[in-house]
Amino acid sequence: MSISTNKIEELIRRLKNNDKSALNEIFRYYYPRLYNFSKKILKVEDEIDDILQDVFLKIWLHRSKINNPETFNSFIFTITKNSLLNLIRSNINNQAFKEEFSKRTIASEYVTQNPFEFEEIKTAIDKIVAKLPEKRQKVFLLSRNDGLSNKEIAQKLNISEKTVEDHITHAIRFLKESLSDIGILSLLYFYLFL
Amino acid sequence: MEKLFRKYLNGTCNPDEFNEVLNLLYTKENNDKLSSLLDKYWKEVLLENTDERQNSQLLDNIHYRIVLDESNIYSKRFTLAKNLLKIAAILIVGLIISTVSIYNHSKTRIYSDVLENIKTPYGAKTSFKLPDGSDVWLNSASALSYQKQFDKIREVELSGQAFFNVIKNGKPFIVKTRYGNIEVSGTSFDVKAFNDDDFETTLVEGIVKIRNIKNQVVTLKSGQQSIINHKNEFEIRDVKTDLFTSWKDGKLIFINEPFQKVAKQLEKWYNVKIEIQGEKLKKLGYTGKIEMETFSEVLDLINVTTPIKYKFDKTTRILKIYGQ
Repeated sequence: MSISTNKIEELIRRLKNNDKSALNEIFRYYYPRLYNFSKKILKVEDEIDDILQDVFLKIWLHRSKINNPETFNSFIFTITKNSLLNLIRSNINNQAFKEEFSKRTIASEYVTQNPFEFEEIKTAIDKIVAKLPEKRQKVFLLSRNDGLSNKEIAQKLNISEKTVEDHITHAIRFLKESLSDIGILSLLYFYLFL
Repeated sequence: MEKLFRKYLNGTCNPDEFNEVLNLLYTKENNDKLSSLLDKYWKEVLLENTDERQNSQLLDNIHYRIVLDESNIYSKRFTLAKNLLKIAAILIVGLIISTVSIYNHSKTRIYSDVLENIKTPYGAKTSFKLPDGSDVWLNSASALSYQKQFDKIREVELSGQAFFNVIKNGKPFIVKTRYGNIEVSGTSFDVKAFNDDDFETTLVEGIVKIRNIKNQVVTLKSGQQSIINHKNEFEIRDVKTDLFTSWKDGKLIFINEPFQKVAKQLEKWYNVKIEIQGEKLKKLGYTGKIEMETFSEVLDLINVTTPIKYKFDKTTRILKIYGQ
């Protein structure tokens, strides 16, 4: 469902003619995509709308500088990227942001009850993962070792995305139960910010 | 790096990897690498099927900010016009303030010595101070009267539209209109009480009590607006107050306002009669800002931003508008 180059050219032309309805169409197409992009990067949803408001406002204010589809795409991308990075960097002292950001970036099997040594947990986890049934182990390793998304794993193994999610959920549950069995309760808060 | 980035996006990092992610985000030397990873991911997002999430309120806010930004450009151009208008306003106040009339009966004679009357014709507005120091801005086609003895009770009678900045002095301040009264102690608010429109009160700061003719009372907090419709029922909502009070600074701001309502404001502002042909056109939403423009400039402005055709007769001052 992507937007054709011709359509972008038309929108640019109308923008430069001060046609505000062109901005509305641009919003309709780019807002959901920019939102999802921002959410994956920022993790925290609160300020995404503020950032995106500025992005579309700037598109309008600087429309005279947009000449072709390439500059248009890179314009949208660059403004959003800079705003997102600025926000992440300026929140270096914001506890609430750091907590939520780390919770959503770190895999959930590492997020449980009390602070502990990471190395011990990692070794324990590796041992427990080796005990998982074959299929489940494979799915879990593709996610944690190879960094594939659930969608990519589903495509690779020719199974449904729901099945992948189920495998991972069960694996995590098994991990947490086993970890508490051997007496390691861990919640890792990482305040190793530079 | 690529794998690490993916795990960051998917939220599947182990704690070591998380630290590497932080490194990637916070270290200046990694900027280029980070940018290219982000760029690659953005291109993927563009190709994916997304849930079509929308946010029409955000879009409205964007248009509002655009309109505000455009107003900054205009105000520089029209500073000269603004100054001339200020001088004109002072002259108008001088011409219009009158202790009205020549009554024959002695009873009314007393009242006329004691009553102050300010009226604005179509196409003009003015501002002045009440005896207690409160400020009033009176819109076009409006009238305000009050007793010269303004100390024990501060009571004004309004027909039309005015914006008040009431000074707190311990005594209640009452605005009387044909639809009901508004009671305040020290506050800023806008009242619209024209014959052909709803009774609107917009509160910028403070607290006001509104009493309709059935003696029902409603209390407004700042940022709220109350409307009494023709059935005399109250309706309260939260609003962006400057949309309703900007007229006192010489600006009319509309956000997706049905064209018929826009026309009503313009009629009073410019002393013209507007006839709109076509039900669709009457409901067409207009977003824009009008500041210190002459009427023909307004027509040009509306022409550029909405699909309309018009005919303006200079002698009768009737504007006829058709859709295209």
